[in-house]
Formats: sequence, structure tokens, C-alpha cells
Amino acid sequence: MEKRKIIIDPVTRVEGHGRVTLHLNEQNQLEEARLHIVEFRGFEKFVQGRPYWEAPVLVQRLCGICPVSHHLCAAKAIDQIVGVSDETLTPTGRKMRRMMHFGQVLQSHALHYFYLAAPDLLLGMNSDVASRNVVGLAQMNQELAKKGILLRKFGQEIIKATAGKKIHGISAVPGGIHKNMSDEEIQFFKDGKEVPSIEETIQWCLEVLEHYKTFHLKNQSDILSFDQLESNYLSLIGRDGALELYHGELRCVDKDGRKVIEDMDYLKYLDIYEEEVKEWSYMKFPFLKPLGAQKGWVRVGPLARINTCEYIDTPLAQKELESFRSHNGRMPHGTLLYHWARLIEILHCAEKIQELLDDEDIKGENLITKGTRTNTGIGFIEAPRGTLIHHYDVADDDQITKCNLIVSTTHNNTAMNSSVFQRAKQIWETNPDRGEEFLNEIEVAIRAYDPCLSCATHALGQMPLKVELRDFNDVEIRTFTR
Amino acid sequence: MSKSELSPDKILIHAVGNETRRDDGLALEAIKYIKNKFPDFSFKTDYQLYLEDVLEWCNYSKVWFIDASFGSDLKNRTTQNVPLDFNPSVHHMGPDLLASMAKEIYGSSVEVIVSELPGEDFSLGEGLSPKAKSTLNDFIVSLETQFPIELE
Repeated sequence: MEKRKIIIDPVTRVEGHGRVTLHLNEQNQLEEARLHIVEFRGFEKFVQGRPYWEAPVLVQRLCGICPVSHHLCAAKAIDQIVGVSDETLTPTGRKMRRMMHFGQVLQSHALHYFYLAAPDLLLGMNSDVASRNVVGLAQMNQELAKKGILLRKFGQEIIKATAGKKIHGISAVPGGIHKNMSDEEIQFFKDGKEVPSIEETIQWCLEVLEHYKTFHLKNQSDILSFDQLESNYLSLIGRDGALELYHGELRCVDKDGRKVIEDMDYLKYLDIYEEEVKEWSYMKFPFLKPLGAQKGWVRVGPLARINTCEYIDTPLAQKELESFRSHNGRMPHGTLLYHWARLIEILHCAEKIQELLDDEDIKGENLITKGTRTNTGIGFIEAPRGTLIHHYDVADDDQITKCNLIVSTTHNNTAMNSSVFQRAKQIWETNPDRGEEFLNEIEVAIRAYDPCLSCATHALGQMPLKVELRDFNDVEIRTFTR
Repeated sequence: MSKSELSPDKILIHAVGNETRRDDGLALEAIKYIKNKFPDFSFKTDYQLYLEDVLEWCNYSKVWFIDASFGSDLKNRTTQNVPLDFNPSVHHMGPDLLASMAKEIYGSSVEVIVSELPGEDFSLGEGLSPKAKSTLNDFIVSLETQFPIELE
């Protein structure tokens, strides 16, 4: 049977490099979509043989956007090696790590929303590509762009104050943290002189949410019809079902909100988790064993967390959650709703940071604790893009013998392929010659997940978007570039 | 830049790179030389450009941005308005976009000079490739030609 395929290479405005091929059959119908992850990192292999205490510093080099998540997830896993759990960390260790994480989620979400997603949403995904970027956004709404930049800066400064550096920090160590916050550092986030004050930050989060909601309600039908993907949702969950970004039990619900598994200790994740390998991608396809590979895939990240949680334990974000649910229902599946969920989480993080800045424990001197040495450590954390898993086995000589990392984007692998397929199919069937618009809408679907396909070097150079239409014999018959 | 424009309080020299990615560390090597030659200027080094760097750029009348490149030639250029085929990604938070943001968002008139230093090996590892070493040498020679007085 003759087939054709369309290749989109690389996908722009996602973290790292990816490629999309759309496979057509002889009836010219879209048959399959594949998001190829073309980079191979090898971190799981090359940390083997390194002493376990190096893991939090080494593995964060996976990423330049969410290194804190890897740093903290590894630290949580390595805590177990030194016999420490989140419950037995010192109050200062526990709270400093959380503050670092809230700063991380805030800055990452702000970057994604203002720099990557908002140009598509607010300028229109089919608007002129020359202005569909943050500069175009600034021309449309200068104040919004300024707030986006300052929100991102605020998050980065929180990371610096807690991790020691804005990127690739070093403060989370086995059994705790090696830095507290001084009065001067706390004041830095309260006085509003060099960065917006925490009160101002919260206010801006609210304003951005209002701005988004106005846009959403005006364009609701377009947003919701863009891609509806009924799925399972997975995340950590806090006490009594609260939204939780740092530590909690594991919860998975189905498309109707029913628990697929009972809330469980994430240390037992291997009882329910498995990864499938496909020959065309370096990225694995995780699934829940009880449901099997076909039905057991999940979505993670902001929309998943909003769908799994019962409530949010900060007042303003809780109010926004109620607003979100009043407009979208209890279990919405619209892929573009990730953006609204992301903005609620930014607000939640800002509120949490405010709580912690007023907490005397972050100035404490008791930073590190230890317990009975073990040989296995498993860490889970809710990274900005979703559930992140680090698993290490360590020999008696302190060397890491095994490392397994399941990153957030991997969880969303099947979902991203499905969203691309749904979107591409709709466009292909209505107008296959839409060219630029066709490409961008597929990218918009991928970007909603804020995937991190890994980042590496950043030398100056071209990053073209190229689309190839190829026949079954891989002969190029049509090409789009921009 | 002419020598008369080289007022230290107006100029930021900003280099990005990663020395553990071989030639990606080219700009960091270059800035070591520049620091010796122009010690009174403001310097900034980092792994990459960030969105919020625009705030710092707006404090200067000139920014000299230096980075490794995939290109074949050593190039010094001014920034351009975001061209029609420009589609930003996180990896490519480039100096042109940042300069545009400075202008459009903050009304800044900062002039940005970009030095692109071509390398060839961006794999994990330390030390510059032969091509990058040659680039660095060419860069230094061009500086000494442009600003000979400081050599005395």
C-alpha cells in the first residue's frame, strides 16, 4: 500500500529538538502521527560509578529550564540513601527546598506562558509568523510583556536565594540543604526595590489570570475545539487531596475523575508502572500496568494536577480553581486548558513563597540530618511539566550502580502523539494545503504540554522549520520551510 | 565601535557558553582576553541568554554580546529587527530578539554588537577544537588591529 509522510523538523518553541512525521495512506488520509525525539542524553548511564552524593548536582545538567526539579528530585532520592525522608528533614531543609521548587515552577511557567504560548494565544495561532512572538506580544500589550519578564525574574531570584545560583544550583545535599535565608535576602523579596515585591507578584499573577480568562471566554469555542483528549491524569497529591508540587502520594484518575489506582506511596511505583519502547523514538512510552499499554497512558503537568486535586491550599489559587471548574467542569480534557491551569499554579507558587518568606524556619541553622544508610533511593516531584521520577541503586562503596529517570515529558509522550494526530487529522481533512498555518497548529498542540525534549548547547545559528512531504520510498515530493 | 565611544560605564560585555561543551566555551575564552584589555568595562558571563537579561541590557548604551556559532566565519555585526523567518525557541533566545525586546518593551536605544565565533565541536568535553583555537586567535588579532593603542 502506498503511503506518504509529512515531516516537520524541527519543532520550534519547545525545549530541545523534535521532529514530527505525519503518515498518509494511499487514500491520502492521515493514518498516524509520530513525534520523534531525536536527542539522546545518556545520563542514566554516565552517572553509574559516580558517588551518590554527586547525583543532585550531576543530573540537573539535563536541563537549563528546570534544573531545580532534577536537583531536588535527585536530592529526595538520595535522602533515602542516607536514611532520611521528607518527614525527617529539618524544618529549614524541608522549607528551603520547597521555596526553591516554588521559585522554579513560577519562573518556568512564566517563561512558557509569556514567551512561548501567549504569542499563539493572544495574537492568534494563524497570525503573521513575523510578529507571533514575544516582541509582537509586547507591541500588543507592553504591560503584560513587562510583567511576564519580571515574574520570570522573581522566580529566578528565589532560586538564587535558595539554591545559591539561578541555574544549576548546589544547595540541596543528601539529608538536607546547606543554605538558609538571611534577613537581607528575605527583605529583598519584600521591599520591591530590585525585584517586584511578593505582594506585587501575587497581584500580577491575578491580573494575568484575569487577562487570560477574558481572552478564554471570548474564544472559548475555538480553545475547547482545538483538541479534546480524554485521558488518565497522574500527579502527586497532598494531604486530603490538596494540589501538591513537592511531596505527597501518587494519584491517578481516569477521564471521569475516578481513581484508577488507590492513592499510593510513590516508593512502590514499580508495582504499577512500566515503560514501552518503540523503534522510532528515543523517548519511552510509560503506562500503568493494571490498565495495559493501550489504555494505561496518562497525562501529567498542570492540567493533570488541577484534575487530580480536590482543592488548593492557598486561598487565591483555590478561588481561581473554583472559577476554572465553574467554566470547564470538574474533569476538562481540552489540551489548551493546560495554559489556564499553568497560570493558576503560578499564583499558587507565589502564595506559597509568601507564606515561606514569613516563616522563621527558613532562617534556621539546623540544615542537615541523617539516618540509617540504605542502598536504594526513589524520588518523585511535580516538575513544572509534570511528574518526575528519579530512582538510584547505590552499592556499599557509595557508587551509583543503577539510575532510572522518567521525566515529565516522557509521561506525556503518548498524549502528545495523540494531540498531534487529532489536530493534524482535522486540518488535513479540511484543507491539506494550509502550509504555514497547518504547521503551526500542530506545534501549538505540542507546545501546550510545554515539553522539554532536552536542552544542550545554545550556540548562535539557524533553527529552521522544515516540512517535507515524502512518499513511501522516502522520496521528497514537497517541502515547506520557514 | 570607535575608540571615542568606549566609555566603560556605558558598555556591557556579555559572553555566554559552556566550557564543558568544548567549542561552546569559545566566548568564555574570548572574554578572558577582553577583560585584560578593557578591565574597566562591565562583564557578564552565563550559560545562555535569558529573557530577563533584557532588563540589564537596558541599563547600557552598548552591549557587546559574544557567543560561539555554528557558522563558518568570524562575524561582528549589529542586531537586526526580528526577521520574517525568525521563530524563537527557548534555545534561541538570541541577541537580536533581546535587542528588539529592549526597544519594543522598554523603549531602550541600546546598541547591541554581536560577535559570532565559529566552532565545530560542541560535544561533551573540555578544551577547544583546532578550528575554535584558530577562531579565538583571529578574534584577538582583530581586536588588536581595531584597538592598537591599548596594546602599548
